[in-house]
Amino acid sequence: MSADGGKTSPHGPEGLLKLGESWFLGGSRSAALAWAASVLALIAVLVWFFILSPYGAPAAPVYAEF
Amino acid sequence: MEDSKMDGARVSGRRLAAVALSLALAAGGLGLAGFRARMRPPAPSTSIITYPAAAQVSDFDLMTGELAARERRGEHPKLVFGSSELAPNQAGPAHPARLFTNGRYAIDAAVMGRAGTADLWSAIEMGAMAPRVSDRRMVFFVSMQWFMAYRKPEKEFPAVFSEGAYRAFMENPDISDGLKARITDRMAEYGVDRRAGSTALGGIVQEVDGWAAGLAADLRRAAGSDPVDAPGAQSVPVRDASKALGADEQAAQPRTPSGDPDWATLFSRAEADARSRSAGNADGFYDSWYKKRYRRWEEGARSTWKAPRDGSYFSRQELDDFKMLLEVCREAGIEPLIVIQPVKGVAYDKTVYTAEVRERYYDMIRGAAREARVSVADFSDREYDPLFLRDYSHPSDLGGAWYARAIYSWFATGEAETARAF
Repeated sequence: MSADGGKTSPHGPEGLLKLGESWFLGGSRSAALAWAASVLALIAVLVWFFILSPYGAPAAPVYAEF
Repeated sequence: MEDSKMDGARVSGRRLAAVALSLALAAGGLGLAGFRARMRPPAPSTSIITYPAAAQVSDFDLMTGELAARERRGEHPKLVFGSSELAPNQAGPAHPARLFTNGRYAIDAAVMGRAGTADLWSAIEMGAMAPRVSDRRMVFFVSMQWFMAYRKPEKEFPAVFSEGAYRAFMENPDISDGLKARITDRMAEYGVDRRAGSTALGGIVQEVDGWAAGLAADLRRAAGSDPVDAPGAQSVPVRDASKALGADEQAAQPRTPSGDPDWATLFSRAEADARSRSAGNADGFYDSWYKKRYRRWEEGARSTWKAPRDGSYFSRQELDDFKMLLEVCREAGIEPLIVIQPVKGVAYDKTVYTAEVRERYYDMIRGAAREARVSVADFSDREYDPLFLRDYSHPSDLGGAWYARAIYSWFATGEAETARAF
């Protein structure tokens, strides 16, 4: 019997979310690989922001009129 | 219970190992990319930077690489420092940044500054460049706006700060430790703190920060393409030296039989250009700026500029920076030409910076230059010359011609020609 008395369907959105959460925070090798992939993805976003995109450099001053 | 504790430890250990390995992989990948970016020979340039972007002036390797590339092509680049007046496209074809390119004349202009680079930035860059150039004569455009009430060096300096230039400046053996310390202290006041850390941790943080900035610059350059694509940069194409000049190219850079600029033609054309672009008003503002920006500029200047209670209209701090720049020149063996730019008299007369107040600025700069015994090209008497400036302070095509002539004559004869008649 589930904690909520069976009201959450394992196939509904909430159920899928809980399944995903327990998998990601679990101890399987696939979860460890997912952690590694997440770290690499976050670093890729940082590299894009600071190196490749125009957003990472400080705003260039324009005419200082007043 | 013991089994579940061991399982928990195994799980977190596996996760930790996965995260640590991916961090190591990313660090290794970035390090390798940075190393390869440094080792790769520079691709042949297809354009000459006539006005660098902020990302370019803050990249010392790029600036020195650009100079070296121009020398390899047979040009004679001379360093020109300043700020937004160095942008040639808004002025016109007689502006020195555009006129002196592709080895057409005895000198070429290597523009080293842009909007945001003032006295402190230029002092560091000049000191960094001095050991790397054979000709230590350098041109420096000083602007009244750097000294005025609305200056924000804490905002502008970090945005153009060049880590590589600062390191090269600090490694210049000709510059005294005392001057280096004063420059470093001022940098800290403007938000870039490279002072020796009071704690070991502070020193390590600064080293890592400097290294990361250098790596980011290397990777940005490796990932970048032609300088034309850098946002905010201006450039002209590199001319194919094996081909004869076309009629248009000859007309754009007219030459006398002796190889000097044909000043008569250049001035005539520049004056006609400035006149036609300012035909809609009596004060010589380029119509494009006048229609869109003049009212806003006037309203902003009147509402935000206030007369200081102590009478100090111009920043003492910026004056000290200017004097430090002159000291850098003296110690590093640099011979500067200080170009004193005018402002648009009819515009500034409507603000608290009256003609009398502005004359104090000009006297201040002339006095500092005289004390340092350096050459001056003084254009302060052009405030009411309607065609000299296209807006409140930037040169028109005609103003650009005057600056070009002053620079050329100084390099040719040692005297900067500013006289009206020629």
